[in-house]
Amino acid sequence: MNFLKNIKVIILLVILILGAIILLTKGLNYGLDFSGGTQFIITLSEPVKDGSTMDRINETIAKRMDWSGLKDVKVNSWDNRFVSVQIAESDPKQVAQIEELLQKQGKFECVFEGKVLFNGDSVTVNKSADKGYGINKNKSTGFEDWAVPFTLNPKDARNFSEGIFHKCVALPDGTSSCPSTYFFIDRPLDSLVLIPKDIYDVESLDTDTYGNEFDTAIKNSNVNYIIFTEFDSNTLNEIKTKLTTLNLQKIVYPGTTDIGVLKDANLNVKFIEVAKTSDPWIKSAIGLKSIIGLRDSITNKNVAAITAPNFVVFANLAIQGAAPTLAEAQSEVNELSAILSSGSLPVGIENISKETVSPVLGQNILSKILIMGLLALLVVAIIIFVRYNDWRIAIPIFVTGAAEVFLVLAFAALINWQLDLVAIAGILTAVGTGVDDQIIITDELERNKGKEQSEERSLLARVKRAFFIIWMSAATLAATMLPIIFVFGGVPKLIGFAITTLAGVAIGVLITRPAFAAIIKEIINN
Amino acid sequence: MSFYSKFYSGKYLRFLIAPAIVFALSLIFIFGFGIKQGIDLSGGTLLTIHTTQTVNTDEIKSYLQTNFGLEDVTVSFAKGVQSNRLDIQYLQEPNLVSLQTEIQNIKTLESQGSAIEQTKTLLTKHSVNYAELNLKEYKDWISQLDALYNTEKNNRVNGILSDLGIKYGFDTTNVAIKEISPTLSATFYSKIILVSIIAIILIVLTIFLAYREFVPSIAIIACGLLDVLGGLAGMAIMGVPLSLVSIPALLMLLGYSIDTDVMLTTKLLKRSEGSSVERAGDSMRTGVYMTTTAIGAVLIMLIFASLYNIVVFFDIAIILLFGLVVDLVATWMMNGPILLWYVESKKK
Repeated sequence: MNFLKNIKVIILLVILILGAIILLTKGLNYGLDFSGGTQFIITLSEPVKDGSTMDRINETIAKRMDWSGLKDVKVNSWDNRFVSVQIAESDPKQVAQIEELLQKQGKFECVFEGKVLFNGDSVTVNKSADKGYGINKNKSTGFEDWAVPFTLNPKDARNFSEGIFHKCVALPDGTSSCPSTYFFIDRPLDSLVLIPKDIYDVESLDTDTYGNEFDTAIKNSNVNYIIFTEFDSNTLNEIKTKLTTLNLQKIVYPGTTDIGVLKDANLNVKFIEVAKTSDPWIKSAIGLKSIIGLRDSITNKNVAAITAPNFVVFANLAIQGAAPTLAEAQSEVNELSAILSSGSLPVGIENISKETVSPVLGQNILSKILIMGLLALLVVAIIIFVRYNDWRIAIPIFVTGAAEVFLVLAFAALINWQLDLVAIAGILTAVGTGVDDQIIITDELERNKGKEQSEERSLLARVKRAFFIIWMSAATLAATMLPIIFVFGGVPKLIGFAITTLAGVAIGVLITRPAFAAIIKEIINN
Repeated sequence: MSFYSKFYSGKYLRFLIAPAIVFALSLIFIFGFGIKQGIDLSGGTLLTIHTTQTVNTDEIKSYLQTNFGLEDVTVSFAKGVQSNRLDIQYLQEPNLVSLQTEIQNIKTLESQGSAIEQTKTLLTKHSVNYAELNLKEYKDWISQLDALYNTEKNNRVNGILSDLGIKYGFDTTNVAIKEISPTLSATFYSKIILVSIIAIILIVLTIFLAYREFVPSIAIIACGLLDVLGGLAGMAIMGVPLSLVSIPALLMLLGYSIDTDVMLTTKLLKRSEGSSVERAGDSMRTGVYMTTTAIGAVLIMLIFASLYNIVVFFDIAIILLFGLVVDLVATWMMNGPILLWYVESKKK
């Protein structure tokens, strides 16, 4: 067992131990093929030349996906024109819904008297506490009051100020009655909102949140809704009529309602469950973020006409609200700032390609692949045994092959590479080339075993020459695999094969084969 | 004296007939059967349904053609241990094609005003209530067109799936859908061509730099290319499409199969022990074992891929299997004789 003292063998052993530590601590990442999920590739309507715009697109899409509650979302862009988005969802209906969300522009709207006065594109968030940004504890209510102040661009500021001009009505007692503006994010205009009577009863009396404006809020949203007590035939008919006459595509319902009847009714719509949060349910359902009552001053009460010189244009506004806990207030502020500041995509989306992988294969296929790999190595070992008629040669080849698989997996874990089927195929082929090289080394040493060492045929020289061939074949393989990585670098799913093949070859040439050569030299010499 | 040491002792140039036959056969298979383009490169839609039923692919194909007018439909079915796999791939759906044309026409209009008007008409035709969408500028309208196309596309696919689900009783919740848009497939296509060209240039450079002799270098490259032809013939015979999985596998084959040629060339050109015929035979002994072990491993992969219906493994295994078998002929009956002839004529 002298070879255990060989430096190359020691290096291999050390690296194997390191590999084991990496695999145990970091673990392997499994790609779509095993976990199931969907990869979208979004084609932007025009190439985006500048990096910061591209970053903004990536960020916007990532935020939006996070916002929709998806976990493990991976976004990356390539070629200035394509953005891949990977999610762990493969149910076709859900996927179509997410696709729609991707295509959406992330719309923030300020609605007044049923009309949109401005949207997210006109808005710049002021993230400064001086302007009121942030959260303050309200001593009298005990709630956390939050505010996101923003500035309107001049054109829309004027538009807004004109829109609300003279909207307050003077009351006999000297005060004024002013209408409200409503801030929405992604109003579900293509949906029918089902409001259970009990929710309606509770929430319409909740004057803390709405003032007395529950009904006006729904009406202002222009969202179609019905209030119902149960899904009897009348309700069903009403739903069907609304869906068809208004051409609505979705039904929004609270999680507490059992909509089994509707799902069986062949309505050909998507169902969207909106969960109850600490906010009133209807607010979440219609995307209402904030109701802001106007005041006399902002409506230019004392100005004669919009053309008058003293007409004031208001550009600084704020979205305000309250939440029972600091955490909820914080997430509200974050979400609003995110959507407002990186809200809509700077360029349009031309089309979306996608690949869904159903988890039919599942992770249990992995153990089968492992068995297949070992079986393949075993077949190789048997062929080698038949050839040399010596287990002492077949076993090191088998063990080296297994060590290479192990090290490539450790490498994948180290760089957080997602293992897909192609990547595993790459590992298998890399190990195939490894076996070839080991045969070259073995043959080179075995060949002239009995002969005299008269020529320059020392074992060392022979190993050296075997390594010329090994380096050459590694170089030719690198020549064919490297271009794939360079050209397709941005699309991880496509370069998995090249990555693992190259890693396998590099590990083989640098680590395992030198060690194998040292071991086999020892064995043949004895 | 064994088979290998006698192999090149006779008139070895006669062996060249074998690679010539392989070359001709490969071309016949490739052009006779044809190699289809996979969805990555052609664009289109691929629906993969896992089912326990056995289905008649021709029936499904004609059903899809008559009921949905799908273009370029291929339906394939493979049995597996866990479940069977039904692949339906089509290029286009006529309604979507005409919608796409309409959208394209609007986009190319010079007058933005009339483009918006026509967009309105089109949206109304597809019952989209644009009044609620708050569209202002020209670009808002145009991006609405793309959104319309995408929605329609999803509706079509879901329509086809639910129809198949009802007619054949497939479980349509467990369907894998792959859609590649024409822009994306065109990009993939140009990229993979670029990759192939760079790879071939790099491999030629590597070999010329290593050997600096014309004939041996050309012989190695010719061997690699013949192997790739073998891989392509395998694809044609087994119906493996050209794709972003199979082309890297072909390139891999090019880089990988060359190792036997490299060994042979190195031993013949850079060594001096024994006669060149002996050294060639020696190399062949080693090389044939190298290729045999690889074929053994690939066969296991192929069996496994067929049992569990793993297309990626199947495609790669087919390419490697055919390529490696051809490599036996290419290396030992083409490269071997050429090099021997070269080495012996140099001595004279």
